Amino acid sequence: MSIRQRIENLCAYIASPKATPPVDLKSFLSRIQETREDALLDLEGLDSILQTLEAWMDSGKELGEKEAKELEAQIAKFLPSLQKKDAPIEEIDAELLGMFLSECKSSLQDLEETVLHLDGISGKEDQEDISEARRTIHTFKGECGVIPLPEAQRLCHLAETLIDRSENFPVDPVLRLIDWLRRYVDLLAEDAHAKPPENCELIEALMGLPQNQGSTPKALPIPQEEEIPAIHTDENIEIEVEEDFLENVPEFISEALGHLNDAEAALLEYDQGDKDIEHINLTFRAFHTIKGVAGFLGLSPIVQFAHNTEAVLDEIRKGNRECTSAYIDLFLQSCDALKRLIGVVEGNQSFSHAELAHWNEILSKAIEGNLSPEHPSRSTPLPHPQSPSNPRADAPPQKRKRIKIDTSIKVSTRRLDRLIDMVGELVIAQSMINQDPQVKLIRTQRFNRNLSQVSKITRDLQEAAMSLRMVTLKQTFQKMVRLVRDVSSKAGKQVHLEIHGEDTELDRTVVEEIGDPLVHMIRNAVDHGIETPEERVAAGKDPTGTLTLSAYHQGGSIVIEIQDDGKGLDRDKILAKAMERQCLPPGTNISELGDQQIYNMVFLPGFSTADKVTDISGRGVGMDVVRKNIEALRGKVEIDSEKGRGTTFFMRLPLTLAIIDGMVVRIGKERYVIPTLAIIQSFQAKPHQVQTIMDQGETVKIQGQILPLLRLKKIFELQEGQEDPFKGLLVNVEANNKRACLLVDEILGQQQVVIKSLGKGTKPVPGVTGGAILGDGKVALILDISGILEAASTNRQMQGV
Amino acid sequence: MNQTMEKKELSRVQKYLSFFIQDEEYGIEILKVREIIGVTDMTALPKTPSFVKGVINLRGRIIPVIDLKRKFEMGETEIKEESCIIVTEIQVVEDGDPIQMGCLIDRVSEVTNIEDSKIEPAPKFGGSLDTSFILGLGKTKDRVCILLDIDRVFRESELTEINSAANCNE
Repeated sequence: MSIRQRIENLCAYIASPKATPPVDLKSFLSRIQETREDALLDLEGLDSILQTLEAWMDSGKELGEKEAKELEAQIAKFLPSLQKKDAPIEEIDAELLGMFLSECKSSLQDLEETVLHLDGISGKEDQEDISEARRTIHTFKGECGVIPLPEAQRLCHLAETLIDRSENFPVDPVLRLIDWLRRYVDLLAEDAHAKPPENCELIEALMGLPQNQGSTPKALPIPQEEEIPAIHTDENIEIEVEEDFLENVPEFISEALGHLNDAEAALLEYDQGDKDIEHINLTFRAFHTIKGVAGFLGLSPIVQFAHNTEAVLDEIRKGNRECTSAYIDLFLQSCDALKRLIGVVEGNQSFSHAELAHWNEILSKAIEGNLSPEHPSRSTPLPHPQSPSNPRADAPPQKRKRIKIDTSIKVSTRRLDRLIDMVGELVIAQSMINQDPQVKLIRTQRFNRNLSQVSKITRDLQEAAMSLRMVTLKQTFQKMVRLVRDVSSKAGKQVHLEIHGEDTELDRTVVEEIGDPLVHMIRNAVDHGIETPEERVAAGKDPTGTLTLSAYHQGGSIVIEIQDDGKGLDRDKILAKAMERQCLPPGTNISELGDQQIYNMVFLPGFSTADKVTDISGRGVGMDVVRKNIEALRGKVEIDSEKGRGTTFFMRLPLTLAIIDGMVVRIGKERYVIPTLAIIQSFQAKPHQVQTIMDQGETVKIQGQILPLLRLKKIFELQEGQEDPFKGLLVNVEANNKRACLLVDEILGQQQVVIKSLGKGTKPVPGVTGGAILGDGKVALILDISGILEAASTNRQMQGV
Repeated sequence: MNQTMEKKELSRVQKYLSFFIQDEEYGIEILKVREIIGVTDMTALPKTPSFVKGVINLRGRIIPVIDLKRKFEMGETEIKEESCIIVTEIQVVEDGDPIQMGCLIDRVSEVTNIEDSKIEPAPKFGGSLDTSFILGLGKTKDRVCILLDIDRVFRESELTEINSAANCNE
């Protein structure tokens, strides 16, 4: 019986009323019917499915639950091979795709947000969000159909069906779909004809098959490899991945394999007579990309291998060597070898050092043009064009088309800074013209109109220029929602994440840099900070822990706060560990150490109080990285903790380019800017408010508080400035929960200023965060209030001792 | 940029910008000079050595200015009509942004060509006079120009972060 007949029989049976099909057989069968028979690739798979079905049809009974599930899984596995084969490769409209891709990113972001919001809500309580998510997926499906991206379209369709069918919103599968779509979109942005990433598991999830709940989709095999060394013989290569890059590895592997498949297809095409140099170029690029990414991830054997192959390819590309089919053979085998090397990273392949050395030798000989006829004799045969493991090998390789997403371009920050500086100068120059007495004499209406037009344009230009570098923390924080969800389920904790101030704007470079530290800190907070539900209940707390992530401005810097209500830092444990590891400088009196000093020890490299290393954290690498990253941004990390009540991490970040509201004050001839955020009030002191203590420190009594009086003139060792606190003005400032009054000569006014660094040419001046260019083009220094208060309070303490 | 002294044997001709501090003529390699600007208002930087005059706004960029006369312990520069600031540029790290610094001087003279062979090493005076930031003495037709190793001047002015970083490493 031919397959077609068998399917027709089945269809007829399903149509009869007595049949109770275990799965959605109808659509599956009609899909196969639509497919040309010769295009059915995985005949064996289909055959086994049909056999199961026929057995079921013959028995006339309902299929057992277990069998039904197996069948469903089989179908899910079979479908992708069908798709790849029978989908005609249609010409993709580059412009359309570009538009689609640029929209995609934001709509996926929105979708993820909605879905995460739905997480944990049972039943159909939040109809609004569910239908929104459904609408988004539906729109997406439609768009994918237009492009056309059949694979993505199909998955969206499955997701839609799943949402309709499920009682609760299927958060996990949809999140995975989002991840998958993201990966696909990234691939498409590189190459319009990129193949969709691997999706078997995803399809299973979308078809509602049970999953190992709690394990993240692309379970990271690497940590296991580190802990339980795989059974390699001594001479096998082991590729270790640094912890920081673990997340990037699965992506790298799937991308690299995709590149290699493309390269193989191109090589075969070349071999079969299409002597287009573009094929070689494509192969070259594939190896080059793999080399680059592998280099970034520190996978040196791969880098070495890819580099050597690339070198040979380069010789051919430049026309130094003729590309004979012997070379093609060599490259095809290199592809295979590299795939195996990549498999080593995954932990499911082995590759010996001797083999790698052998390859290096062959490749370096090949660079010389000395092609040995014998390639490394290994079990791997030359992949046959029709080899089923490589379904697209015989598909005509398309010329790569780069899709330009026109909504954003990358500009070097140096150029951007230059532009912003120039615009700032333009504003100053323009205001100088406006205020020029000579210009003021011109009183024609036309001139005035033009002049005000110029002012307006200048202002707009300045605003536009300023906004160029600023982005909100929204995206970064959104990623954390996802992270908390994944990590908490993995660690078996219940965590509720609250987010505040996600609209706080920060310099783009800063936002990019804080992602990593945030990940580490949140992982730590979930893994170590928050207790398991049982422990929490025992401690009389809500079983669900709360993690608060907030961002706000404080005293001219931005603070990102990560607060958990977990068990807090264990002072004694840290201290014990520190002594054990001899982190303390000799002669330290332990009883004199403040809490802060002890807490800060967790930032020491390799410091960890975790009893056991999990694959989430505990190695003691994280906090060291956090501090390094934050300090590289000239920021600070502080810890506040109370045992049993929780821990708060403060990341204090400078606004390298942020605009602040500042109060311009005068002391002597110089003007200084005090960040308005740090100012509580300013006032004229009355004699009864000021008191000297032991003829040294001066204090001011205001609103029932006694605050130290600080003279900037003294702190900065200035020549000029008001001495008499009753003739000048006192500015009450606050930073880091410390308050003081600063004596200034007068307040000149309030204005927005751009913080500029004083440049690498100057050593940081204590008490000064940077400079601002005022309206007349002169520089005013911006005061670092927290630095001043800090210095003042430590001085006082020292005097006290 | 740094080939002046090393390739002395080739006797190449280098261009120097010469200027005056009091009546002494000094020279800076022209490649290190970015521009010459008039003296503008300077903002004093607190707690810095006295030769640091302050910072200025150079078209949106804030750069420090040092008083060379003060640096060389010849007294303080009196700002007159002819006084100006030579903005020099030193590349600290490759590919990095060059650091710009201003030098306050009494009067700019000219750009002169000086053959490397006409440069004599700075004489040692002994005692307290520090000649380490003098590249050499350049002889022109009728006069002698004191050629400055401007990188060194800055490095030893305890101004730059490079210097402070180097101190940490010690």
